[in-house]
Order: sequence, then C-alpha cells, then structure tokens
Amino acid sequence: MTASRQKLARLVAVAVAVAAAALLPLLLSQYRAFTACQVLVFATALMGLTLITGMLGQPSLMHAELMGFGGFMTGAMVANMGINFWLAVLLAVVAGYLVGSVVGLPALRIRGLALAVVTLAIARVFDALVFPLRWLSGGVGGRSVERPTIPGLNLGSDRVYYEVLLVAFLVVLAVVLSVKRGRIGRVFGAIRETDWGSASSGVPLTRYKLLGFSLSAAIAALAGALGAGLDGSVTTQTYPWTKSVTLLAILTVMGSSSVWSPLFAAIFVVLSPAGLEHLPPLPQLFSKEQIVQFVPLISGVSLVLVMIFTPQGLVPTIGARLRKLTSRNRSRDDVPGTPGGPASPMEPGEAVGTPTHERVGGRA
Amino acid sequence: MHADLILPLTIVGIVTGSMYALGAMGIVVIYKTTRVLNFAHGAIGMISAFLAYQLGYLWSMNVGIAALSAIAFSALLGFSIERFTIRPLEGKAPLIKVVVTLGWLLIITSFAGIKWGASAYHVPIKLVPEGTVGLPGVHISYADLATLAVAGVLTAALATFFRLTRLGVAMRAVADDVSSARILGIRVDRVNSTAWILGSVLAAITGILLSPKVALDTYSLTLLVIFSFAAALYGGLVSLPKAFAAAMVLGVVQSVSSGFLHLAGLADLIALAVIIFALVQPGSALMRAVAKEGA
Amino acid sequence: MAILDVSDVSVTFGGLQALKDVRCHVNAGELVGLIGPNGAGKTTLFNVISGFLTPDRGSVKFLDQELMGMAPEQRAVLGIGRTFQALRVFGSLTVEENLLVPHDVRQPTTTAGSILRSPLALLEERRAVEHVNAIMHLLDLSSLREWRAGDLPLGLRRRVELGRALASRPRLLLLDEAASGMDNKETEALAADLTRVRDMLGVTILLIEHDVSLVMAICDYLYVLNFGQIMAEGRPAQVRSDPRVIEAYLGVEAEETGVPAQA
Repeated sequence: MTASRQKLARLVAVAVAVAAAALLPLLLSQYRAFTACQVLVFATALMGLTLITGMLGQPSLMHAELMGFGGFMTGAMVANMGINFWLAVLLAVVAGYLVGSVVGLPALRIRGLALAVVTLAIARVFDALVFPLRWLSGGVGGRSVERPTIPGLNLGSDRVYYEVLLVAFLVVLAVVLSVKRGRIGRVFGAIRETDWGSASSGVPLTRYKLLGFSLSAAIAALAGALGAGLDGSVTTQTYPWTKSVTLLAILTVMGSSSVWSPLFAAIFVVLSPAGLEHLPPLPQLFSKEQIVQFVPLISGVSLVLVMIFTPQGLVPTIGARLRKLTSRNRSRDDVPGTPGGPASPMEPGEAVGTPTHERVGGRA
Repeated sequence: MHADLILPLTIVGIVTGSMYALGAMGIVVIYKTTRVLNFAHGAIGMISAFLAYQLGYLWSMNVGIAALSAIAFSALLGFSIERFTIRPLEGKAPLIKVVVTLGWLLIITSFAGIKWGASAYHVPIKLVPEGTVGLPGVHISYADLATLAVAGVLTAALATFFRLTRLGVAMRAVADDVSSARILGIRVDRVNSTAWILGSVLAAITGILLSPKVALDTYSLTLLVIFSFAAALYGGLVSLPKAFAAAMVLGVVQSVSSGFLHLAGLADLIALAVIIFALVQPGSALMRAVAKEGA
Repeated sequence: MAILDVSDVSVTFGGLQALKDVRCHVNAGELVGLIGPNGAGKTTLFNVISGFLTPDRGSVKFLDQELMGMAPEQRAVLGIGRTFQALRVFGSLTVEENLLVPHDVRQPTTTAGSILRSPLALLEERRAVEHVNAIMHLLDLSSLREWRAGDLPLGLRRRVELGRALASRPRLLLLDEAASGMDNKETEALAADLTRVRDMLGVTILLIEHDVSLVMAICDYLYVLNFGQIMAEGRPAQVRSDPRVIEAYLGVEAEETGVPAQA
C-alpha cells in the first residue's frame, strides 16, 4: 500500500471509529448511557494523567483531587456568581491550568519517589483544606450542579450529554496525541529519562515541566467539571482519598505511556463495580458498599502482578502481540517500552541491551 | 490566643510528634536496607490494629495475646510482601518496587474495608491502662506517655542496632550496593526479609498503640503515614535520630499553630510545607539523594 | 581567541576540597585534554563549567561571557555541549529522536504552534531532520536511526550521546571519558571521529580521558589535575616528560610503555 493510500485508510478508520462512538448511545438504555458518560469523564481525566506521568515521567498521586477541583470550581462559580455553566467550565479549566503550574513547582527541584510523596501530601491538602472551603463546596454537604443546557439540545438526556462528553474527550485525545507525536512529546520523553541529559541539550526544564503539570491539571479540571454536570453534584465523597492512587494504579496496569490506556482504564474503573455486583458469588456474600471496595482491591492486585510480569503495562504488551500477528508497521505509540521508563540513572556497563520489558509503563 | 496556652500546646505537640516518630521507624528501617519507600506502611499498621481489635474485642481474647498475634501477623505479611512481590523484582529500579507497595496499599486498605467496613468506627483495644498525668495546662494519658517512651527507646535501640551490630551494618551495606554485599558473603535475601519483617512489626506496634488515639478506621492510621514520611524525609529516609527530631518538631509546629489559626487541614498544610522544605533545601546530602533520584 | 576561561575555581564538599584554585584556558579550535587520577576532580570541573555545580569561588568565562549564575540549559544554548561519564542518553527514545531533542528546544515556534502543527513547525522539523541526518552520517549512526538508544551496547550509546551533544551545534564540547570501556580499535575510531568533528565542524573540544595514548595522539594541550589542583599543563610531549606528572600519574605508564622516567 502506498503511503497516501495508507493515510487515506487511516483517515477512514478514524472517521468510522468516531462515528461509531457517536452513535453508541442509540444502542444503549438510559442507564447504560449514563455509564458510558462516566467512562468518557474518566477517560478524559486519565488522558491528563498519561501526559504527566506516562509521557513526562513525573508521578502524580493527586490527579483525582485536580478533577475534584474542576468540579467544585464549576459548581461554586455557578452557585456563587450565577454565571453560565459553560463559562464556568471554561474558567475552571483555566483555573486548573494555573493550579497545575503551582502544584508542579516541587517537580522543578525533586523527582521520582520524593515527588510522589509530595503529590500525595498536596492531595491531602486539597482534601482537608481546599475542598472544605465554604466558597467551593458550600460546607460539608458538597455542591449540587444542575445539568447544563444548550438551546436546542436536550442535555437532560444522558444520551445527548454523552455527545458533549465525547467531543471533549476527542479534543483532549487530539491534543495529547499531537503533543506525543511532536517535539513536545520528544522533549517530555527526554525529561522523563534524565534531567541532566536534557539540560545539557538545552531543554528548559522549568518551562516544560510546568507545561506538563498545567496541561495535565487543566485536562483533569475539564473532566471533573463535565463530570459534575453529569452527576448533578460534587462532594468530598466523589473523589475519596484512594481515588488518585487507584487511578494511577489502573493506568499503570494498562500502561501509562499509551494514549489508548486511559480508555481501557476508564472502562475498568467505571464498569467493574457494576460488573462485580452481578458476578456470583459476590452479590450473595457481600453488600454493595463492600463490593465497591473490590475495585481498589483488584487494582492493587493487578498492579502488583503487572509490575512483576509486564511492567510497561497491558495495552502496549497486547498491542505488540497483535501487531506481530498482523505484522503491520509499528507506530511509535505502541512499541513496548518505547514510551515509558522509570528515571533510573543509566550506569555504564548496565542496561546493555536491556530487554524492553524491563521498562515500566508508569511510576509511583 | 493566650501565651499560657503555648506550653500545653507544645506538650500536646510532643505527644503527637512521638506518634509520627513511631510511625517513621518502620519506614526508615525498610528504606535504609532496601531503598524502597513502603507506601503500604500505614496500611500494615492499620490492618494489624484491626486484627488486634478482631481478636481482643470481637472474640474477647486477652488483650496482650491479641496484640502479640496481630504483631506476628504483620511480620508474616511483611515477609510475604517482600518474598513474593519485591524479591522477584531484584535488580530493577527501586521505583518499580515502590509502585508495588502502592498496590499493596490499595489491597490492604480495601481488604480491611470489605472485612470491617470502610468508614465504620470500631473500639480499639487498649494496651495501656487508662489514666492521666497532670501537666501544666493539659493532661497526658498513660497511653501517650507510653507512645513517647516507646518511640524514644526504639529510636535509640534501632540507631544503635544499625551502627554497631553485624546485622545492622549488613543491612546498610545491602542498601548501598547489593552485588558488593553479596561478594562479601552477606545473605542479601535474609537481610531484606529481616528489614521487611522488622519494618512491618514496627508498623503494627504503631498501629496498635495509636488506634485508641487516632480512631480505628481504614483511613486515619493509613494517612498518618504521610506525617511520618515528612519526618523520615528529614533524615534522608535513613537517619532514625533525625526522623525522631523532625517528628517532634512537626508535631509541635502543628499543635502550636493550631492555637493561632483555626483552619481545617492546617496540619496537612504544615506537613506539606515541611516535606517540600526538606526536599528543596540543599540541607543534607542524604536529603539531596532522596530528592534527586534519577537526575 | 579564547573560548573558555576558567579562573580560581574552588569547590568544597562538606570538608573535602574537590577543586582548588583551578585555572584553565582553551582557545578556539583546540583539542585539549584533562587528565589525572581517579577522584582528581575532573568531572567536578566539568560540572562547574556546564553549570550543574556552583563553585564556592572563581569564574568561568565562555567567549568572554561570565557564566556564573546561569542554569545548565542556558549554557547549552550558548554553545557548550557535554557528554557524561555515567551515560545520560534518552534510553527510551530512538537514536534519531535523541538527536532531534536539541533542535526541539531551539525552535522559535510556540508550544501552541507545535500542538496545532502549524506549517512553520513542520518546516522546522524537516530542517532539524536534515541536520540530524548529517550528524548521524558523520558518526556512522545512520543505520541505527530507529533503534531505541537504551537497547544499544555501551560503545554505540556513547556515540549517540556524542551525536546529541553535536546536535546542539556547540562551540565548545566537553567530553567526559568518551573512550571508557572501549577496546583499542574503538578508541582509534573515536580518535578519528573527534579530529573529524574538530576539523569539519569547527568545534573546540575539552576532553577528560584515562586512555593516555589517545590523549597523547590527538590533544594539542594538556592539563593534569591531581587532588583538585592543576599539577601541570603544556603540550603532550612536555607533560609526558614532566617528572612530577610521571611520578604522580604516568609513573606506571612510563614503565609499561618503556618511556624512560626522568627523575
């Protein structure tokens, strides 16, 4: 196949996929459509996590809190300032971008494990200090957020709101893909490997690290804001403290470096409670609250197993296997180990021909 | 706020600080030997406390035996974690192992939530008899004194252990360079197991001693670990006396400032400030090493 | 013309004096060697010059511009390239991508332009690829273009790091133990590469090296560092026959190579 034919085939495939995704709600019941909406919210948010952790290599245990920030900001602005929902979302995204550049500051001086601890501490500050602020959450109960409206569209129906979420997801996907395949993605990959090596090549570390955190936080805020519109509310229970850890865990299991992981990770996060509720013998033995706990449990177990057997994650591994079967040309996104690697210092003499499966698809 | 509140607040802060110090012991022991930060440390403490509760309260066993059984369980848990999920990763970057401990954090916390209910309150077992000591402006319970004493004694004992005993030195050697340690005849596997068992036992002791004060639920003890992290970071994650001192300072600062400023989440904010300060200040070479892993 | 002027640089690490009153001067187009026993402070000096370490005292001037206070990335953009003793290649990137990164950070188009794939951004990318191709050709890396840098053996990874340093179009190149771990044949190839780089690209090179024969063969000037101080300097032949140097450092070499020690 010639190059331009390949390009055309790709374009057609993309168009078909988008159309299929857009038409999906027609096949779903109201309830299932709501679930599909939730999947899109988390898939969008996880795109941000892929950007900061998978691509830039900076661990973030505060991502769910950034989602919550977007949700609370939106709800608070609508309630306190009476502005239009969509404008509030836009402002929440901008606020998220700015907050990202602030919480990203520690990354300028520390990295790896130490940074993970800092992001965890930042998450705690959000949970314990920021979210309880009256202006944001209206006190203990949380914010209720009315489903927004667009003249001419019935967004009250989940099937329709789904399309809004789909647009947001596709836009974010396009941005992240463009970042990944272009020079920013390359520079991110360089920083992920080594600060010193990057600096000696002229990489302005500050600018790129803050860019990564800002973009990631803005994406999380967007998802959180739209999610608040979906749920009708955002409370401190929406994003409990284990959420950030669970999100990072599942994304790592899927492979934090692949842009397709967020979708699969979101499907797991959203669907597994419901799926588990119908999986005998669980419903007979456990209550609903208990079954919800199975999600982090399974995430934890999967994470441990993946780290031992396929550290770069399931999506790249399975992707590579499928690619071998169909023996197409490998694209940069899917070669196992190409994107993704812990920032372990390269010792001369070590890592000669390091098998690619040694590389991690995520980090703490 | 009255000036005469400062002393009582300071005393309360010292008590709180000793809690953090106690929690920091196990973190440092494991990191000092394996260069792995055990994110599941608090969770191990929490589940040990729950087990003690199950045995001592729900099943009415003797409190002392319940506690000992729970501690034995934690030793087994720590051993298993190291033996089956960390050791297979030997030679790989420490970050991968830390990710594994994150996984265990999720596993242990959710398991406890399933078994005992995530947000329910439970009556913790009390090892130390009730009773208080009167100090200027405040009463300290015997349990608090016990915590302070245990923390102090353990810090001194462990610091001596690492410096003077053969096993302690071996553990430090393994942390520096596994291959060299092996060549010297050190049984690296045994050393790692010992570190994890010891670290987990320390976590269990912390959990059981602190659960009367901190509340026995799935998150309070688990989250306390962040304050212990902060303290441990001041010692570069390897110095026990420095961690102890930092824990005290953190507790006092949190306590005294709460007298000035009534803000929810102030303690977490201070802990964050402490952590960032510890890592960003050129301070000691130890802290620099932790901060810059992978530059 | 002076490319590099280091004067009175001193560095202390908690009680240990790593560098003491180091003075060093490199002219344009020279290939200067920095030799000395292990732990003499050679890499420390490189860290000071390239900006990763702030000295207690002293100044570093590059093209008559004082570098104190400048971050490493700024010095890199000014024209100082560097390789590392402990390799810092971008392991998960391909060889080509490794060499593209220095271009990526010098493009005038904005971040937004890159994300939106403006025509200007694409044009810059094409130009960068051309330059990268030239470097890969110079260093014989073209056939390895798509390889993940981390998968390559040590010698090739060193070459990738050298290529990456060259991709920044440096005026001054700091090479730290570029021949480490190489056998004689590889070292000869490296010597040829370095002279070619100096001649064809007009790059001034300052080289830390343990391989005495390499240094003697290609360097115009030598500095000998011992215990953090410049013990001797001069043309290779001079330095080689300097009795202090022979005693402290080349003594063993003299016996092995049969050069008579002049005590």
